[in-house]
Amino acid sequence: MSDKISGLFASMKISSTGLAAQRRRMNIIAENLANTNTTKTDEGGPYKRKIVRFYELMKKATAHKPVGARDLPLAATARGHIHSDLEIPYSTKFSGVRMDAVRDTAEPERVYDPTHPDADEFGYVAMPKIDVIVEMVEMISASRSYEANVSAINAAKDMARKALEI
Amino acid sequence: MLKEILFDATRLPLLAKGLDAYALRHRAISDNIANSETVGYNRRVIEFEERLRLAKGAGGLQRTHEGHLGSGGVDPTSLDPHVVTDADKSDINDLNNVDIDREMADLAENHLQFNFASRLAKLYFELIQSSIRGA
Repeated sequence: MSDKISGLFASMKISSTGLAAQRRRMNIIAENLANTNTTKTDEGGPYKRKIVRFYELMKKATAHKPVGARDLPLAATARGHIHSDLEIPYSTKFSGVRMDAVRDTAEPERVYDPTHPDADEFGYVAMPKIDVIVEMVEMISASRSYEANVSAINAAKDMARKALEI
Repeated sequence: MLKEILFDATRLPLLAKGLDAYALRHRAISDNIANSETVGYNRRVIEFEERLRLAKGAGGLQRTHEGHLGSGGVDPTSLDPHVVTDADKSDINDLNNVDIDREMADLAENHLQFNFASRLAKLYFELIQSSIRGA
């Protein structure tokens, strides 16, 4: 994301990071739902549910010094020092969201099913610990958040159009 | 000279400031919405109207001439909107202090304010044009 992108276009970029994060979250949910009965994976053992985490995207303020601040030969070597980039430009203060997924560490559920090919000697099968209802709730939440980001983009579009009419 | 009469003496510089502030606020709201499910995120707000009111209304003295004494207020067009991180945890949900309903309402309000300011700016330009044309 470039710092040169001004005002409303930066808003659209931020909302698009939100859209991307929610869409990827939807993919993860779909993966969890598709694997509710998967007992064999490449890593061995049953499928482990993926959990989505969101992070605030924040660019390093020092990487984008405002115009003019660059010439100040100030070195901040201690916490109390005044930094040369006194004023952080707005565009670096917000830059959206990013997400990643981690594996659930919960122990798999043990279901008694002696006829299952992956059953152990006692007849128990290690099944993924996935609650379909929890996934459904996550799905609705992702869908709602996606819509909220779409609304924000649409508003930015309309505002940009109105500004062009001046 | 002409620029001063046609543009600087009108409300246009202030409207431009307003449009900038609304665009910035839209960005802050977009960020709050994008981060509505980020754990530990603090919502951001733009402070502009209150600062503008303080700058304009300080002392209640009006300057109609350059030689007049100022009331200690700041020139409204030199104001910049402030980005403030709202760390208020009283309205916290299990993730952060973003209330998506409030953000959506703010988004709609800010959208209308931007459209209003942009329409007003358009009107000013039309006024200038018709005064040039004399019709």
